[in-house]
Amino acid sequence: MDPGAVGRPRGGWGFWCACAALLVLLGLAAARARFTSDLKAMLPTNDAELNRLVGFLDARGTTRLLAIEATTAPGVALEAAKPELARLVADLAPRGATPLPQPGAAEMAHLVQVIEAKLPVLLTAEQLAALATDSAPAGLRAQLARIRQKATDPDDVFTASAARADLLGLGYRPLQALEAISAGAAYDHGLIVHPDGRSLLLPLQVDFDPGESGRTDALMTAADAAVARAAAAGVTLSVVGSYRHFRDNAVALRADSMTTVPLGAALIALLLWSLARSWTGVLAMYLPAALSLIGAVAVLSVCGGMVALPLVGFAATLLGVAVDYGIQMTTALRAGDAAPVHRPLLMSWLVSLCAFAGLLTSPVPALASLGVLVLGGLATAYLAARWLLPRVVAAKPRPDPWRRWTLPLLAWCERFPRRRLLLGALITLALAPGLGRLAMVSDLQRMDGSQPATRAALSTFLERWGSLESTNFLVCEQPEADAALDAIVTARTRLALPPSRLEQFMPGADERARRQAAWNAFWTAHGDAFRADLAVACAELGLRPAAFAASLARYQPVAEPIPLTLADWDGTPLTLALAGLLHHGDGAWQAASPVDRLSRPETIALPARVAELAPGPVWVATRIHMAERLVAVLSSDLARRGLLIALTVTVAVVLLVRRARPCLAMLLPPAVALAWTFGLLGWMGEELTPFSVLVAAFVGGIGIDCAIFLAQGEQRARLVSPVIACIATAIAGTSTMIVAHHPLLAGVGLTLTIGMGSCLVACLLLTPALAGRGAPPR
Amino acid sequence: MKCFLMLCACALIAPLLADPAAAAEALTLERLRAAAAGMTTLRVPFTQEKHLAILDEPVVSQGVLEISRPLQAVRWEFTGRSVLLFAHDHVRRFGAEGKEELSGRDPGLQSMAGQMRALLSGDWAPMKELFDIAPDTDGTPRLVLTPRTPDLARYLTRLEIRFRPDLGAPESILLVANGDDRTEYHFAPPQTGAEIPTARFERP
Repeated sequence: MDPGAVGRPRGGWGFWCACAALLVLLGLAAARARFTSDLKAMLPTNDAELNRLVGFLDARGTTRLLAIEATTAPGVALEAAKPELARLVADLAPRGATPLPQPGAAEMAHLVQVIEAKLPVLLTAEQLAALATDSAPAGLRAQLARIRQKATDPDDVFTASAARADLLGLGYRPLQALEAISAGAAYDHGLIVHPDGRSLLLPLQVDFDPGESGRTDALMTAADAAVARAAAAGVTLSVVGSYRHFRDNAVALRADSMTTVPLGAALIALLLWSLARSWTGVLAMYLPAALSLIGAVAVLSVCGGMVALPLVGFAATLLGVAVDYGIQMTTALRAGDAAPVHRPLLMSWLVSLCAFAGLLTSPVPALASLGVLVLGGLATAYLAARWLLPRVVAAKPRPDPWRRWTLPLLAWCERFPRRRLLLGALITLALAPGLGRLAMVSDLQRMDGSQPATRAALSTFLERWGSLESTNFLVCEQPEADAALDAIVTARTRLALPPSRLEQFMPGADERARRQAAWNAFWTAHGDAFRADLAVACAELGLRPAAFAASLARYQPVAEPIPLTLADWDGTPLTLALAGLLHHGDGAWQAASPVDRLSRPETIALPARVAELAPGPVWVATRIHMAERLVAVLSSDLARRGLLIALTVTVAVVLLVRRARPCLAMLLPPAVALAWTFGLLGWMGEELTPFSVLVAAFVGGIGIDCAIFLAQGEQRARLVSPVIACIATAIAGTSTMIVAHHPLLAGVGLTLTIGMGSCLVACLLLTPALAGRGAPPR
Repeated sequence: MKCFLMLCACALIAPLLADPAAAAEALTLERLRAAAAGMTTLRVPFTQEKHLAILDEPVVSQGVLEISRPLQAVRWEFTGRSVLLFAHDHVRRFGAEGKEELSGRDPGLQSMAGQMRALLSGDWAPMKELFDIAPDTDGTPRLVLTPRTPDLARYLTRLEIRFRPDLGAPESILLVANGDDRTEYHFAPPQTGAEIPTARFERP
């Protein structure tokens, strides 16, 4: 420590009282801020399609499922997995995960009763087509033989009775739509047994959102313990679901922070110490930036906004611009003359304010909030740098420790300006074509920091079971339920998709009429032959044909239209399932029909197929499209904001400087730095994310700050070391993120490092060459 | 719907250890539960006759029911056909070849564990949720169970359990299904307290 670096407070009591009062006010306002980790409220509200997708999928709540798959080692019976799953259920229940409710015998009996009563309108065209085969003589004989065999089984009680009323088992055909996940899978005490008999699936419902990181952590920790315990018993448990992905991402971010933040902080501290040669000086350099965070949260809180925690992280990154103020002011104050810094500092601050003010008008709440945060932070940082630092940093003139290499470097940059400009142009020519290769990220999974084991488990699961939950839907809203349902049926037919449980059990009026007409036509055409065939087959198998009189009475044309409403399914296991797929709200009926077992390419192509083959009121809701739409909306708005910011900054600089060359010296280097940055990223094959685009604002902000300082011709030699220090610290902080395991963090780190490096090179190469050595701009 | 077999069994074992002198008293569920409390093991052969409307002739099968209260286990065997085992709180079904069949395919089996527990404990409460249970009014040692819900009544008309005159054991059970299909069980005199190996409840 260098006690001489920071002198005693040199303001009067009034000043310090005002400072203390202001700090207390900021602190109180910040303390009242309502923090949230829920980003839903931050999503754009100006895009109807995105709103529709978010609203629909959020209401489905399909992410609140956790699946546990159990397999056993060779030689270990699958039965051995059941006790392990039972223990896991007991462990997870207190943490909010419980098995899905199983239907009771009475509910199932009622379900069969409803199906039998509504049978002619519940059988789809495909099921009726299959009936033609089953009711033909060969099929009928085989069916009767099965009935005979089962009925004579001593532990069978009701087959004979049930067969008398429905000998073809038509009532059970619609139930195939309820078959557990994979065709042929079966339920067993709350578990689902895979058709291959080699794995069990335990679906669990979770009573909280995976975004609740604390509870998700506790849940997954308990699941991990159960997995380890089961492994010792030769049972492999695999946990699949969004909770595992959320936990992985949180763990990756935490681990990366633990490694990159201390390393970055140490590098920054060493860099600044080498410039200030005083730890208190280093602290003073960071004081405005530290206060700016409090100011940012306080201003957003006063403005009434919710403070989304991830946004604070971004705001902190952007407020890194404010470090520039601290470094410049502290260096100048320690040198004994801060006056030359005041003007560029004010210019820099005003330009930054203009730039980030462009975010305030964004219809994306996240960006508007970010704008408020950054403006509040910048204002606090400037006030602290301009009026607080002079009271706490004592003058201690000493030669700039970096002069030995910064001055020769500056001299090289100032010599032969045309050559420097030519060099800049050559670099631009080399890198700019890379801009044409840039593309927004096409696979959002590249932003996912899940462990390879987690992805492998999901992949294996999807391969084995098809899907965990329905995340793809055909949706239709109409004033009448029948109209919505019929539109879905029409779309499904044109898309050649099999009916979901919604179409199976809740056909619309038109589809009911079609099904009943088909039923009537079938039995009108085949009824007599069927009765004759039945008599023959019964005689062959030793059965009494008269016993099947109830079946024959049922297998008849039905003249009266058969009504069917949601209420008909009350008291059956379908009550909740169907209510979630067909409900009335906002003045219309919404029908949502799950589309399962689609590959990723098929899912991606689904909206286009619907638009092409089934244009009309039916639309597609999938998580993939919601994420893609979100990225598109954010990117589009960021692009518009970018243009607005560029325009605002240009106007601000022109108005402040009012001379062509200095203006160019301030505006061109950051623009060129951005072109270099994203051009290089394009050549490297990197894809842009909304986050990397946001990072461009940081690069631009630092770039223009540095250019403003380096444009001060006569002061340039004094200012060059702090300018380089500012960029070097940013590079030190961000380059450590490149080694992060989380792809998002590593991507942002890479973009920032390249951006900061480009800033440094562009500002040193172009600004002195363009601004010349004249007097500082007015 | 094999759970109904277990309902029959509940009715079967409870009175086995009842005091013969009490036969003259009215038959109540409390007496049956109290009587079942003293049981350790039970072995009883039976004959099943199924009179089905779809068949000209009745289907006759032989079997043995074994219960071990210390092991909390039940074995219901139809000789040469199938075996139902309840042990470790799980119901399993084995076919004629001794191969285990997937119990999950039969919803009746899924709810059977509860019935098995009732069978072992002598607690009739679960049955009263499904049936109205009434002793015969004319003094015959017989219980008549009728389904309480229309859904259940669609499959089962009634269940009759007739005890031996001394109430020491059941004599027969009649299960009348919808359409008047009838399944009758005729029980031989039971063996009680005999040692039944644990292995009998593990595999066929």
